[in-house]
Amino acid sequence: MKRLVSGNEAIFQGAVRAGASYFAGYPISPTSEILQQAALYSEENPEFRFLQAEDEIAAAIATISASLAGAKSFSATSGPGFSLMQEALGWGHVVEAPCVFVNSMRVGPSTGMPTQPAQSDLLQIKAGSAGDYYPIAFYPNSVRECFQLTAIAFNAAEESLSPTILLADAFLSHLYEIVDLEDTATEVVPRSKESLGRGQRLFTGTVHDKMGNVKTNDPEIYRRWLWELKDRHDRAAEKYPLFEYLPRKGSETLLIAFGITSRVISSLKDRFSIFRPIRIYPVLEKELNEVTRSYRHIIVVEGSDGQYASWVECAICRKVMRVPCLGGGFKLRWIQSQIEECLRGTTK
Amino acid sequence: MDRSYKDLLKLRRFPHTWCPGCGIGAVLKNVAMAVKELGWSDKNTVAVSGIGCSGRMSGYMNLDAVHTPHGRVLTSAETIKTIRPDLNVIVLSGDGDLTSIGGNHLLHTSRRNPDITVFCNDNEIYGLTGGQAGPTTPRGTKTITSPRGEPYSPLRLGHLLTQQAPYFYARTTVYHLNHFKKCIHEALVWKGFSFVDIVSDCIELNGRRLGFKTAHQMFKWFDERFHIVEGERDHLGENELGIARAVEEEVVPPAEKVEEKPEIPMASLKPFTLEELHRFDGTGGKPIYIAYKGKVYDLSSSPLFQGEKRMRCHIAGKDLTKDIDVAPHGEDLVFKFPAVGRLV
Amino acid sequence: MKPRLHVLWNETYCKRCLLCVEVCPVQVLSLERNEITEKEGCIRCYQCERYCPDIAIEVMDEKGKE
Repeated sequence: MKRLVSGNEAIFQGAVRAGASYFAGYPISPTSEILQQAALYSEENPEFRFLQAEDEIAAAIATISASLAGAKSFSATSGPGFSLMQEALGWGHVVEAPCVFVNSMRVGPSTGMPTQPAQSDLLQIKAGSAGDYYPIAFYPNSVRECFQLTAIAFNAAEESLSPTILLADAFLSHLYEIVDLEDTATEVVPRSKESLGRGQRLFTGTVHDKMGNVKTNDPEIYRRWLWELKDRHDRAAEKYPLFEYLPRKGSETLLIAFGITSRVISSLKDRFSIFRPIRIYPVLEKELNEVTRSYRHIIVVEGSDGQYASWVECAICRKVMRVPCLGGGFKLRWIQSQIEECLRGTTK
Repeated sequence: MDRSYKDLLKLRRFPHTWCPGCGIGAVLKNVAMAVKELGWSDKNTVAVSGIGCSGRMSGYMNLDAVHTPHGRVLTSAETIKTIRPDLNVIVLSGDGDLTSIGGNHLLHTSRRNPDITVFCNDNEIYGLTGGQAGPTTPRGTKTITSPRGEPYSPLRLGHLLTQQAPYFYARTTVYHLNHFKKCIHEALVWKGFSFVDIVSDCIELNGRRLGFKTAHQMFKWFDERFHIVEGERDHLGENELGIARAVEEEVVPPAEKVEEKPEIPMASLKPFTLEELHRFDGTGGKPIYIAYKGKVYDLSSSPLFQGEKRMRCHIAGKDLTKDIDVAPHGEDLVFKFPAVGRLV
Repeated sequence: MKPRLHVLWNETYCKRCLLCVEVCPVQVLSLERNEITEKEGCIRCYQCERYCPDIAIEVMDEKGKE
């Protein structure tokens, strides 16, 4: 049935489609609607449990614990709340708990500008928690994609045995579009982890060997553990090399944008080629290298001061130009003038 | 003597990691004994612990165990119980983990009252990190972060956890063994959130600075400081060991009054003009009338007017239609009173 | 487990905290040359076993089987 659906609702419905049976969260704009949806849904479906936690720390810990206890679980928050969740995110990687965290980005740091959209939490998803870890993150740009990518995020979580991240922005969360969710096909990967109550296993955030014995003085055990984690994540991520590429014949300039910015600049597709990464992390190295090769100018248009641009530069070993849309300012005309300025600078 | 509790311990990892004479070993052993006595096994029991010396307890139990980040043990235990109500969830942690960094979770998890049992190894110090003062350190105690004596009063866990029924709060020590065992057993069988505050010794990083030479000397000190109180208690005093518990206060839902007031036809009501109405302002023993949406109501019985001409911003003898529309309360407050006339 | 007169003592588990020595009401236990030793006079009160935090000491059954 076609109806008006918001990004937040699509995310919630996508999780339910993927088999989620637990949600924990704390009210924060712009994802409070997901919490409300969960509360309503659990009223009608008692097998779906939800917790309005006392803070995001508890919400994130509850999400990971629910996963250990055997439920497909998820949580949703925005930048400041995501900062509080970092601790649990690191823990989730060590105890191998598949689950999904939704981060609908708004202008930061700290309380920032509630609730203006931003795209400035990319570094936070990668490096917010202590130590080395390799999360998988997706970023939709439409309501239908919110639905599909949430389900995909759950699948990637089961395959990588770790928390995965679904990025969105305040704009996307509150975006209403007419879609038919029931008709949208998704694949569902079943639960891959045995739940608690089998006996004698230790799920610990301390580095441990295969038996769950805590080993805190052996670099070899740590190395083996980390390479295994990385390998597992790489293999899971490889299954989802998601991107959208709109080449424009004769254009020497490639615009790279994702989420809300990719929608704003979509009307420039008659002048420039546009590349939209959907899997934000791990960075689409191979795809970026292939696509960017034939362009003289590469401009990354994003809602942060060059967070994704720096990843692109690392991936393709080449300088790129940046158009940072800061403070929630995503006006097409302004972006266009900035692009022109970038290009003028190169012809001088 | 029944020693079957050893099945619940990972003896291959013994001797355990704690210092000689540490009370955590006693907590681990006695909890294992009580769990075994109840016939619980690794198939239906999960141990959850936090960070710190006492956080290592779950790793020594032959149960599925979850070792959470610092302070988050209660949230984790609660969620596991939510998802798997068939599992018995026991929490093995320390005072720093549960009451300091996890203090917020303690407040809220106890409020939500999940059926989990918490064993708090309360050694009044941060042991693992070298003996810093914590929220349970008694006032005046000299530690490495309070060289002149801890300046603040300790957290009164008993008061904190017994403010809202239902609750189960037991205080015991590792020295009062029989009492200790009884508290563990009672807490495990309690339906709901139960908290056992086990006063325990940290001889190496606290006791020695306090002047004790052996763990046993600290035990003697516990014996001097605390005394056991028997029977059902609502609260425990500062130095009392015992169990304070209360079942849920029965919440009687307010009976919904369905008052069926017969609709009085407007025409049959006595007509009032505004001037006439104005006279009924309660002065000189006259009744208090007000008008609302064209009807006149008798507010004489209102406890709020109490014979006064004015009740807060409402003035007797006036048409209050506009007042009530902007008032924070609804018009139902007016309808409680009898209608005596109509405004013309 | 090293047998003593009435108790079994586990050398590897024991951390020599001396709790057993101090709780013994008849003071038959002692630490000598880094080993828990026992002299005659055990009244089989099990205090040492009950208080040992390391599960390192056990009182033998009457027949000495355990």
